[in-house]
Amino acid sequence: MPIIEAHSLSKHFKRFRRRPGLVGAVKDLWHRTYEVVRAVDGIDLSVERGEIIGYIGPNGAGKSTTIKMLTGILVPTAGSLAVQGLVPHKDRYRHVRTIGVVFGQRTQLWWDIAVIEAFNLLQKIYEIPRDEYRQRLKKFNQVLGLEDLLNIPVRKLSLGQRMRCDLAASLLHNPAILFLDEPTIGLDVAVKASIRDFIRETNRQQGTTVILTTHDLSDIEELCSRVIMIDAGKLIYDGGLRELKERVDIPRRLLVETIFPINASKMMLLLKDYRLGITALDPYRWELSFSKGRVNLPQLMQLLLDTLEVRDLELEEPAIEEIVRQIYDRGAPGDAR
Amino acid sequence: MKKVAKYWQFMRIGFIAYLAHRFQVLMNVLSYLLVIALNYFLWRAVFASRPVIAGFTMSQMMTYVVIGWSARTFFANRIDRMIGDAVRDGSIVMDLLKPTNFQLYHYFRSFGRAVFMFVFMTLPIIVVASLLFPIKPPSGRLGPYLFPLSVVLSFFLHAGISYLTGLMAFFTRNNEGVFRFKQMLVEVFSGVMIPISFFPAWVQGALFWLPFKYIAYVPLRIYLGMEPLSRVHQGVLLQVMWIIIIYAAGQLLWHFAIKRLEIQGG
Repeated sequence: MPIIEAHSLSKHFKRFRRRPGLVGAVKDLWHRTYEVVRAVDGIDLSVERGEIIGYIGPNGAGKSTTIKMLTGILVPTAGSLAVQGLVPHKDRYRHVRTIGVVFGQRTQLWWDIAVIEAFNLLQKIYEIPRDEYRQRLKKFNQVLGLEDLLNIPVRKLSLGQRMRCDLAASLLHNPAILFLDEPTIGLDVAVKASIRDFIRETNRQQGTTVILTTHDLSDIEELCSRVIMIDAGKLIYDGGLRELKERVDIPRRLLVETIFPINASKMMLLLKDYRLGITALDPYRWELSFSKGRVNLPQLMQLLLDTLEVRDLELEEPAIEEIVRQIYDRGAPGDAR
Repeated sequence: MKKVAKYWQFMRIGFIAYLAHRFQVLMNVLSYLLVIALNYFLWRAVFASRPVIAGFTMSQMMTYVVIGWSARTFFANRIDRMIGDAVRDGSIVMDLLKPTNFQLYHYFRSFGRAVFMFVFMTLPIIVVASLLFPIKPPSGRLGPYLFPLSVVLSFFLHAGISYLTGLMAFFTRNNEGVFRFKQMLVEVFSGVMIPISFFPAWVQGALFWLPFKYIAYVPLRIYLGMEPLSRVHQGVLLQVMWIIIIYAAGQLLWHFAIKRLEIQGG
């Protein structure tokens, strides 16, 4: 039985539309006009226990709204939703006992008190047996390196430190489902890596189901086997990451900056063996675009470094927005389930 | 037992969160002493012409002022503002994700704050004020016991009123206006500023049906021993009754409030 099941799940917001100018403001006093925003518009979801799902889409696509319905914070406008057999917003109290949530931009800890005090409070709130709590805390301390942070008030933690604490906090009660909304936003590479390892381990050892929204494609590549993509409130892809990559050309861009100017024909000749899109931004700066997997990147970079006086190389990973655009342009790769 | 541990922990964090601000709080002691001094001299001038006004003698009035303003530091709370801020900045989401009674969470967290205030404000104010002004000890046989009980009940009554006010943040954008209005009602009709017996009869009649006077006026009358024993019991019982009514109203309003919750994006 799926752990999360949704049918034609929708959330519409009514947004007050202000009319411009003084006359408009006066009119608004008498009669207000509203527009309906379809933040989530009839999506079907089915998630099995133990999956790690990447839930992606451009800004304002409806990701957070979906998460808020799944966690019981928002009441759906239409459609049905069952998470572990419960309707989240109706059974909020029972439901939230069995889930863990991390919102990258917020904290579930308390600003003015030390991390350990917040953890102790969570132990009481979730009624975690003492031994279990101690054991888990000890493990989290080791894996996430929290030892030195425990006695610091939350407001004095750096973003990376706070995120590690928040992640630990969300798993103290060993939830069946972990919702992560942009957990790696603004973090440095080392912290990202430790957070990903931790999520992967938790999923493997505890069988925790993970729903991850992110803007960082490398989060998805490292963690998720399945990707669900949403845009303008509708699902546009639901399937494996590999299938997505095979069917959608995920473009990467290499920016090359040279010390001396290079003319176009020389560049073309040099790179004739590679299937690249070559654009000159100016004689010193070149943009090489290619499909991931179709070009041997180390070899290409070696060639560039050997033959040109390279000042700088910069690799751009594709943005989620770009993949979404491709799906639209080429038709969905594999119909949304 | 688990529940008790939970609420104890709420109190703890309410208390601990203010430890960082203890010097700020001590500064507030000075402002309170100033307010008490102003009131003291004001009432002394009022009583210069007559020995008894609205049932109060001058010495009762002086004690009323000092004990009333000191008690205010204890039963005041910021629940309405905490909820208002959380709704505005969206952090209310994190509160909703915790499997706990939101109302009791606020009551007990603020009670922890009140205990902090008692130690760092109420007590210093009473100690200094009792050196500066002539105040009487709690009166009668039961005063010393029933007055503290009654003030603790005042705290929970006022907490309930603030909680209801705070929930208004779910329904209106203009929280500030609602909060100020509530504060004004409490200041005037709780009896901290002016004893209720100074109001015209019809206002006193109306206030019988409202919870406000049970916040300050009733406990202070108990302190001063101005009520017969039966009325003292009645007063305490009415405090309890109002706490229960307002708690129930809070539970009910909460269900409507969270349905109204609309948070776009982050």
